[in-house]
Amino acid sequence: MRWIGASVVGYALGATLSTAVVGAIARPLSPLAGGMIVVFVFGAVVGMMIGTAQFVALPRGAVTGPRWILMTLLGAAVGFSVAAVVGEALANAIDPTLSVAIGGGVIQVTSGAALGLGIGSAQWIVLPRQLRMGRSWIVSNVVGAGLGYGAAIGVLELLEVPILKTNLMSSFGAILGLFVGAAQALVLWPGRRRALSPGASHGERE
Amino acid sequence: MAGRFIGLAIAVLMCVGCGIRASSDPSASASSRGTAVNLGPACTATDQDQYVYRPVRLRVIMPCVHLTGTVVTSSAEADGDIHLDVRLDASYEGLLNPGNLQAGGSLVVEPVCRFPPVQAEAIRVCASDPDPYADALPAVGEHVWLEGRYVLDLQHHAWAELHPLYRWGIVDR
Repeated sequence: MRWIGASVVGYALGATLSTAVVGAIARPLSPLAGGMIVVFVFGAVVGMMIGTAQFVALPRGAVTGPRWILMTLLGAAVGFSVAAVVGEALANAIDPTLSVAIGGGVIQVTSGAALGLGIGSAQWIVLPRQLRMGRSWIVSNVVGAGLGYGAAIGVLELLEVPILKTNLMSSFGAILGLFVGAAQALVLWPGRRRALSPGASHGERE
Repeated sequence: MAGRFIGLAIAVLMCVGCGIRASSDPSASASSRGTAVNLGPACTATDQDQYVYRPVRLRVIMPCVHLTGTVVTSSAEADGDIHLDVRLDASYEGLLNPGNLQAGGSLVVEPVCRFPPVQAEAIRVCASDPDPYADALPAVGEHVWLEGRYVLDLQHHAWAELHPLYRWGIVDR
């Protein structure tokens, strides 16, 4: 629960803060690379907040803080950039008369999966072997972010819930963080138990 | 360090929404126009149509129209746009189609890229706009003139929209 809570807080704060930072600071960067620099900065700010919040919930000594936060920052920056490109390409390829739920769902889930691949791969590099359970860490991020991104956009677009609409960015981040955190916890929990079992070498890295 | 960062974030958040509010109709009074669908005075498009994501979902009917109506609702969307429902004045009701019944019989008006979107296909498009339309938007209940691109949204019942909104002002009484 601690891990899921940290993920929800990290994603929610990240989405909110990045909106403010990008809106205020990154506009001069807009003409560069057709806006991709701004997207990269947006993702980096989100990743910084995710990494910071999740580091607090990681088992003590599992990773070094700066390394975990830096890799999450880079993973989210690359992930959001890829998600933006993939999302735009799919949006222009899918028939606009198709149901919003289906067409939009495919776009958001695929984009979310791209984001999850970025964050998951970057965190996988620094996460101790016992905790990441082979490639399961990356898979959990892809699945969690894909479903979370789709669910978040679906809830915000299709349901008229005033409190979510008035807190759009934090709501989006919280829903996405809930899915990603839950998916990661499915890998982290058995991995942690294995790491703590007698005979395991703690903090081992590849 | 953390305190400074939070302070900066709060200051930035407080500035969101700052802008100059348009206050008068540059054209003649709304009541001086009165045919079935009176499109008002000449209307000049801005560059905002370049920053509409997924352009294939919108069928452009007219590049720029001028109309008047009353704002009924206003809400933020995950694609970075603001969604205004506008009850058109009688002389402009011919711009509506059966799809607009899904929007409560209102014309949908969308100023684009009002804030960084979270919807993936809109992120880069909005990010590439160096000069987004940042003026304050009309409040619910205000009687306003609006200028924007007149389109049908194929993704949403092909209802009629002004998308994007180019400019607006209060209708002189």
